[in-house]
This record gives sequence, C-alpha cells and structure tokens, in this order.
Amino acid sequence: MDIYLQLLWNSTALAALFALSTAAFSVVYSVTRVLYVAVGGVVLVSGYVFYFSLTHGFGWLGAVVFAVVISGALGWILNTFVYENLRRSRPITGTAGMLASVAVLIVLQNLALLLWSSQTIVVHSVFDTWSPWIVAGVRVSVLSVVTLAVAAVLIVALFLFMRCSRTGRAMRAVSDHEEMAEVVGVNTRRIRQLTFVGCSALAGVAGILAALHFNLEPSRAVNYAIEPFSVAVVGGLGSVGGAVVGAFLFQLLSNLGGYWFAAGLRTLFTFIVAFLFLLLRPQGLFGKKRI
Amino acid sequence: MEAFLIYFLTLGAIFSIGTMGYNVSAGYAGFFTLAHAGIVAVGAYTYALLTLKLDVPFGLAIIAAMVFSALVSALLSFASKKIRGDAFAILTLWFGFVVVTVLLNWRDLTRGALGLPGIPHPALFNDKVLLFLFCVIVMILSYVVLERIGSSPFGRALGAVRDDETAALALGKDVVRLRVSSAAISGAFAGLSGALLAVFLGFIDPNLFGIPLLVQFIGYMVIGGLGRMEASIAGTFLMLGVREGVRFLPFEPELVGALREIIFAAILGLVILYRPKGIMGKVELE
Amino acid sequence: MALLSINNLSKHFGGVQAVKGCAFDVQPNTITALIGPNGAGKTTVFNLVSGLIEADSGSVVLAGTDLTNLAAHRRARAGLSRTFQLVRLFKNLTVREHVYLALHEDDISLLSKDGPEFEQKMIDVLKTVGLEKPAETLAPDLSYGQQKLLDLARALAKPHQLLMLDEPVAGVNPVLRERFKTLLKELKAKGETILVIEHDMDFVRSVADHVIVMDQGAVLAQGKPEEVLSDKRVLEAYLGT
Repeated sequence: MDIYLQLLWNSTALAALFALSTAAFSVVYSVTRVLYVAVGGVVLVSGYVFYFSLTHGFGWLGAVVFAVVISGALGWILNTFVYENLRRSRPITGTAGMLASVAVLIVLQNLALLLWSSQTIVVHSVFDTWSPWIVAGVRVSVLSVVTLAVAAVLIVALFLFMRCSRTGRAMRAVSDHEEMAEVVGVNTRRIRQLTFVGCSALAGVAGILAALHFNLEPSRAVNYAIEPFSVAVVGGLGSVGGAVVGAFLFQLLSNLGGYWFAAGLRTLFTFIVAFLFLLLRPQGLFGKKRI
Repeated sequence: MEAFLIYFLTLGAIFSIGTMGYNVSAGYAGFFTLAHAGIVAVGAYTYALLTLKLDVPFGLAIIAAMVFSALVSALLSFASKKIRGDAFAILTLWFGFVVVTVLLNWRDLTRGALGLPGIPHPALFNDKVLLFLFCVIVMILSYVVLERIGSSPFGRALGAVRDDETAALALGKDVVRLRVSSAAISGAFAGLSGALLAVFLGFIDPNLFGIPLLVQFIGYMVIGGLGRMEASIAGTFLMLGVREGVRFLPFEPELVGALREIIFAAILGLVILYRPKGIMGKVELE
Repeated sequence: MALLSINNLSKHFGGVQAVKGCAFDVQPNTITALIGPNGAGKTTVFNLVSGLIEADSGSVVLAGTDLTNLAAHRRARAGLSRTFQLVRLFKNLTVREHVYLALHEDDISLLSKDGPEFEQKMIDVLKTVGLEKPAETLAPDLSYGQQKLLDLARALAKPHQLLMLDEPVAGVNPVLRERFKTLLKELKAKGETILVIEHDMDFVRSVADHVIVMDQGAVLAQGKPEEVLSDKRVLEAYLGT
C-alpha cells in the first residue's frame, strides 16, 4: 500500500508540472487552433535561462522573472513571425501549423545545443539540501510540494481568468467562433497574441520546474513537446480541466506501468492505454465533440 | 571522395523510396501520418530478422518486409475511421513510439538497444557500386509504379478523397477502402526503404527509427512537394545533400550536428510558410 | 410507384429538432422542388437521404431498395447523385478528372488507364450543361457560375436514378439562371427525375411539376406549384420567420 501511496504522490507532483505545459498547449489550441508543439522548446529554453540567470548573480526571484519574461517574449516572436504568417495564406487548422511548430521546436532544441552544449547540466537547487517530509509513510520532497503549489495556483488562476475576466471571455469567444467574435468587435489578432504570450509564460514556469526536476538537456525538448500534446489530446483539446486530469492519469499510468512492468515498458503501457481510450472516445475526456 | 559519393547516392535512393511511399499517403490521399519512421522500422527489422534468424533468401525477405509493413500501415489507418485530425496525428506519433519501444524491449527477438549487426545480403552487394546500382534501379521502378498509380483511376479517386471527402462519398467512392489501400501502398514502400536500409547499413538498432528519422522524411517530402513522385526524389536528394554538405563545414562536430538540424528545420519552416507546394509539388500542404 | 420514398425521417442536433417526421414521395420523371424558409431543414433532409448524416429514425427507399441502413457511398451507388449548396469541387483536379471520377463507378484499377469511351461521354455531358472551358482547367480556376455547371455536370455524369440538386442557381447570374431552367426541363424530357432545393420562386414556378414545402423540420404542404405558392400557411411560414 505504501508503494502505491508513494506512486500516487510522485504522480501528483509531476502531473502538476505537466498540467501546466499541457494547459498552455491546450489553451493555445483552443483560441488559435495552432498545435503549439514548439512549446517544448520554450519549456527547454526557459529552464536554461533560469539556470544561467541564477548562476550569474540574478537571485531567485530575478531568475524566475527573467525566464518567464523570455518565455513570453519567445511566444510573441513565434506567433508574430510564424503562426500569424501561416494564417495569411491558408485556413487556420491543418497539418501545416503542426509541421511549422515541429520545425520551430527543432530549431529551438538545436539552438540550445549550440549555446549550451549537449552536456547535461544538473541543476543544484536549494531544495536538494532540505530533507523530505514523511507523511503517512510517503516521502514528500520539498520540491514536489513547491511544484504542486505553484502549478495549482497558476492553473486555478488560468481557469478563473478564462472564466471571469473580460479578456478571458474574449478568448473563449474567439475559441468558440472566431468570425463571430470579430463581428462583435473582439480584436482577435490581439487576443491570439495575448494567448501566445501568456501561455508561453506559463510554459516558462513549467520549464523552471522541469529544470529542477529533470536537469537541463537539449534532447528533452522533444519530451516537453510530446507530453503536453499527448495529454491535451487525451484530456480534450481546449479543456484546462482535461489537461489537469489527463496529466495526472498519464503520470499515474506511467508510474504504475513502470512499477508493474519493466521500466522500459512504462511508455508502452501508457500509450497503449491512451490509444485504446482514444479509439473509444476520440474527443478526449472533456473535449467537445466536433460535428 | 568517390566512396562518399556512392554512399550518398545509395542512401539518397533508399530514402527516396521511403519519401515516395510517404507521399502516396500524404500527397495522393491527403492522409498525413506521423508513423512513417515506425513503418520503416518494421520493414528494416522484418528483413533483418528473417535473414539473420531464419536464413530467408534476399528477395523473399524484401517482399516479406514490404507485405508486413503494408499490413501494419493498413491496420493503423483503420483507426482513422473514428479518429480524425489532430487526435489522429498524435495517435500515429505514438504508434511510432510504440514500435521503437517494442523493438528496444523485446530483447530476446531484437537484442534491444544493442541492435542487429551483420545483416546478411547477397554477396553481389559487397561491391558498393553494384549495391548502389541496385538501389537506384529499385528507386526508378518504384517511381514508375507509384507514378502510374497516381495517374490511374484509383489515384484519381484518392485525390478526390483528399480534396473533398464528402463529395467523394456522394460520388459513390468507398473512402475507407481507398484510404486503407493508400496506407497499404505507402507502408509497402516504407517497408522496402527500411529493408534496403538494413541491407545498406548492415547494422540496425531501434534508435535509428525515432523522431529524427521521421522529421527527415517529413522534410524530404514537404520540401520536395506533395503529390508528385519526382518531387519526392528531388526533395530527398537535395535535402540529404544539404545535410551531408553541412558536415564539411569547418566547425567542431557537435556544432555541426546542431547547425545541420537548424538549417534543415529552418528550410522546412520557410517552405511551409512561403512555398506550400515545395520545389515541384502538385498539391499544397494544408 | 414512387422513385424516392421518405417516411418519418427525424434528426435532432443537440437540443434542436432539425427534421421532424418528414415524409414525402418523388415520382419518376418529374421535377420536384423542395422549398421552405431558411432553417426549415431542407439541406438536412438531403444529407439524411444521401447518408452523410445518420437519421434518428425513419426510412429512405429508392426504387424499391431500402437505403436506410446503407453507408453514404453505397447509397450513391444505389442511384443517388447530388450537388451541394456550397459547391464542393476537388481543388487539385481538372474538369476532366471531375467528370471521369463521376463516370467511374468503381476505381479499383490501380495500374490501368481509362478507356477511350470516357472522353466522348465527358464531351457529351459538358456540352449538355454548356460548360465551355478546356477540360484541362483546374476547378479553382473556373468562375463561380462555371463551377456550378461543373458540379451539375459531375452529378449528371455519375450513373444515377435520382438527381438531387441543392440550390443549383444560388448566386448565379440571370443569364445562367435561365440556362439552368431550360437545362432542367431538357433533362426531364430525357427521362430524368430531379429533386431540387431552391429559394428562387420564379425558378420553382417555371420548372417544378410538384412542390413540397417544409417548415421547422416537417412537411407543411405539397402539391402543384400554383396551389402551394398561394397557400396561406406557406405564405405565413415565409413571412412569419
């Protein structure tokens, strides 16, 4: 039983991290119909920026803020020069958007490689020095608590923002029916821009947390892209709640799979379950059924 | 230098076959999957295992690789019946992962990450030039067959499904059957490419067939242009040339690797944005 | 015996009942017009009949064959041929390819070529609708009116028993509109059975033998054009919206 509780806790902490980047991915998709696979690159770069700021005298708060700002800026750049560009010449959805994202992801990953080499950088954090708490027989590391707390706050904030604020409602209007939103006077271009910047900033936070959990390594960019994509699809594209539940289920499945079967099979197990799930429910957990 | 040229041209021919197969699915039928590298892996490992473990003769092993790859690809396309668009993309991507994961973990069969060395091939191909000629001939034959298919009534029906599935249905076209057939054809040539790769390299391991290979094929196909087989050959040789060419730049190896990927991805991105038909494609990338 | 027989056809979307117990017959060798205010469910009925949408209940019978449980492409092969309200052409294919696609029932031939008789059939059908553009022209390069003609040519070329036209003259210039009128009458004279959705009352009055009026998903009235178009309930339905 202890093991399962431990697995449950581990899953929760990591799920929180991935829920952040998944929510970012999902919201971007919902508002702009772009498959923001490049978010993996943003997550990666943010980690590096955070780490190097920290080691170059920025101080914790400074490093965090700087990394998040850079992430947001990256989102703005990508939207302006890639995605808005794409929209000029063809309908919004489609493979082209996803492929362009993939191309951007590869550029970002290899830029990181160029700038910071392929050597894994272990991010020594102050958290390492604090011993974990033991709660009901479960090892609860300080980092996991912080991760959960930060992610939870941000996701709830995102959710409330989308539901209650004027901009949030405008975003949902654009998400539901872009042409309609234009007609009612919403500046859809600005909303899309805002969405990209905001969600990229969120991804930036996820990147900082990821650096603390997984260290820094350019090849992780692909993981940081595929996880949100997969989870978003299973949770339902566009749904923040789906991102959270989906991230949790994925982590849980992955950890259970790793525990029940060999470590190498955890991915297999997760994907097979997800595959079967999608076959039965193509729109994901909380996704909208397309007519 | 000459050895390098032979190496380059042979690899180009082998990849071209795979790119053409990919183009059948994405360009002819408008059915974009991300499982292509996985299907190539299926072909490569089928050939390798049959020849290594069961002493199956060359020709038979190649055909078996094609058939098995075609089957796997067709089965995967069945899932598209219920799942469309973005969910389907991720599904096919997962499939590619599943293939690599299975290959990595089924150590009894595949030796996992250690890979399969010493893959047999006809003694004839010890001569690199003869192997090159063989691959080029196979490439040309593949081109002829696939081009013919493209301009046949079947190919035309695929185009209809690609351009407007609803209208195709209204004309009485069995869209599901057409899609599955195109997936089978695509898979067969992906498998052929994989098998020839196994022959050419003499050694394969699961990590050859992951995302990097997928992105390569996507690049070759999209930059060449969708919907035309010549475009796939041109795109493959051109971009493979760019990739190999970058190697000769005067930078350290690690830098060169990253530079190569950046240049490749940048060209792909620019083509997607500004030239959706690629170099000489017939159909725009949606 | 009726060529097409629809009975108790119903379909709801979310909370909206788009089609409600719809029933009517189409007699062979007639031009039947399906009219009604916007949102009456006319195109939905077309989609239900052609199988592009699954009905909640009801039956569709074509010349004695029950289509109700058949997939869309099988219904097409059973003898339905249709056009679409918003022209659905194949944007990477030429005029010739559109017609050839329609002429071929089955396209299984992977490696063979088209027989020579197809060219003549294509020429004939293009001449019938009056599309005077090189067969090599790509669909997007045609003008709107020409695209409408191609849509019709494609539907005609496809082997069929019933021709279903969804607003064939919507947005079309008056000259072309007149041509469509003449064309439909010529087709009827050749033995065709046509079911057409249209908003242009003048068009309906001049070509239709029988008119079916739908409102809010159900059949409101049907009969000869003059009767139906002066029926008070019909006028109310149109004005009341």
